[in-house]
Amino acid sequence: MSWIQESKLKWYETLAVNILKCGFIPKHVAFIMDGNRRFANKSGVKKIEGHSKGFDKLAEVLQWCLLLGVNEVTVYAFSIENFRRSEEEVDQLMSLAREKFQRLLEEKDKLNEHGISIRVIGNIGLLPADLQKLVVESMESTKSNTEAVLNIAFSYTSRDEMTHAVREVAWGVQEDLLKIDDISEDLIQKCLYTRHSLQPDLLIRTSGEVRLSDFLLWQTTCCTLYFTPVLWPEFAIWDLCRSILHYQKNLPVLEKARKNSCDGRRQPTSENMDRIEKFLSQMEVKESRTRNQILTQA
Amino acid sequence: MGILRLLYVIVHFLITHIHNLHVALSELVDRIKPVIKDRTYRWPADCHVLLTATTVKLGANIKDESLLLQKIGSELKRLNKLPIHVACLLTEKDVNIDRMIVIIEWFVSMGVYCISLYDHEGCIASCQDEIKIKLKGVVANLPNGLRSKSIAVHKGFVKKEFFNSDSINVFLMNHYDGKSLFTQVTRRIVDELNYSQIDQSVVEQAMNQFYPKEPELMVQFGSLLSNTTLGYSPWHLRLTQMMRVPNHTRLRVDHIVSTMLEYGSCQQRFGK
Repeated sequence: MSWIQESKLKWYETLAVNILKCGFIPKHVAFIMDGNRRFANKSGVKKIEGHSKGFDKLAEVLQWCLLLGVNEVTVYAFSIENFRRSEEEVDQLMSLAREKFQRLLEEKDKLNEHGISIRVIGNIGLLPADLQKLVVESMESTKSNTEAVLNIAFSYTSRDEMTHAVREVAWGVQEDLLKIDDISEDLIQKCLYTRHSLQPDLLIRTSGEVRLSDFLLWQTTCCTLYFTPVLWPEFAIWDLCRSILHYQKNLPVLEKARKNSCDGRRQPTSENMDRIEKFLSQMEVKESRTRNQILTQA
Repeated sequence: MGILRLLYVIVHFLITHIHNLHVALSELVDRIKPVIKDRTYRWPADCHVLLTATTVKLGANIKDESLLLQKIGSELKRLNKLPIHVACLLTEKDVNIDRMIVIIEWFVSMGVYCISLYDHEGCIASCQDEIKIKLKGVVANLPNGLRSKSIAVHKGFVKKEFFNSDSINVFLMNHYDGKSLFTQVTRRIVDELNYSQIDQSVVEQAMNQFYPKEPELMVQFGSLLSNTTLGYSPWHLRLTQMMRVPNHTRLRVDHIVSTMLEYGSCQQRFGK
């Protein structure tokens, strides 16, 4: 099934969307797409078919988000912890990913036409080499698009991401690009995989679990967390609408908290600002070198 | 199109304000009604709550609240489902210290001896001495085993040497204890280690030198429609179950009990 779907909303769904749009619409929504396997069990199909249904739902939800005016979406596709599942299931998930990324590359003109940029966040070094290449190719071929962004957390955990940030900072200090004194919350944030994104305003987790499971821990400190018992393949536009209503209701408290925590932060001086800028650009150079290496590998 | 747009705005306004009305009304009721002083809450007769493996019977004969809580606590402990550290997240504008003391007492009676109280702005942290004095008074009236426990009220995260796992530990936190702890730890790691030596276990080890450890359960008080973390230390919330209860001034013991039982019936799969 395709990544881009043409939407056909019923008249009452359009009505609901229009009503919701009178309030603030979150700019960035994150999803933990949980419940594919339980859905498969419930409807008596194979696990992998549940995952496949989950992907179809993702394409549909992305379309709803575009209609609502949400221009950035982050999804938790595969956690580093998921590597501990049975070998058979991991292999199946990897081939599903291969298939979907290949499809994505085939559809890149369509994605470019809609201005959708794909970013994969996570420790992609843990993936099989051919999949690494597909992932980097997908990112490179859509990176100049700015209309909407889809972040796919693949081989991701938040603690791994935070550790990665510490390593980047340590690298900077070792290379004499940074001083220990430059290390601040802001700097760590700028070293995360999600540094090019705004922080999510709304996080939705399906299937009734009420925890973050190592997803975007750093980024969700001032975010509405919406937990719903619906299984991901059964997620409906009404669930999305309800979660946005919750976001709109919580907004004043969260905005205040966000402002409060920004005020308390130490402001960098102009001297270390230059240093930090230089370090960040060096870090980007290093990253793109790694990406190029992956691309040129056979 | 103009009229249609106006209609949308009106409907949106109505939908979003139904909840406001509800909150305003219940707050009004709270103002008029004094804070519940009567602490012997009677459990409805023949009430039993299902756990995955067992049924906890809460008969009407248990009139003593702390006995009831003890019973539930030991039942959860037997099932290995008693949280070691519970985080309380306050989202209300005003904090009523006396009510919070009562809530801490409930947790302590159930056998939870590590409790962190978090509010974003630090109202709670400014009442450290008051909380300590009042808590001492309350614990002195608890049944035998608990009475002898010492109490420590800390501000923010503390190093290992200041933490005694045998006493009742209450941590008062605000948003300065969140990401800044991680920043502090980052500085130390970067100062001491080569970047190629840094991996997740190094960071985990460095973070583990601070107490409290990850909360197993986070209880969010207040009328927010859904969960938030409001800046609670992100590193610690990896697997924390997040649940919501009403405003702490309106909270009854059965809210806490059903939250704990719900927590007890949850299964974690750890990625599998």
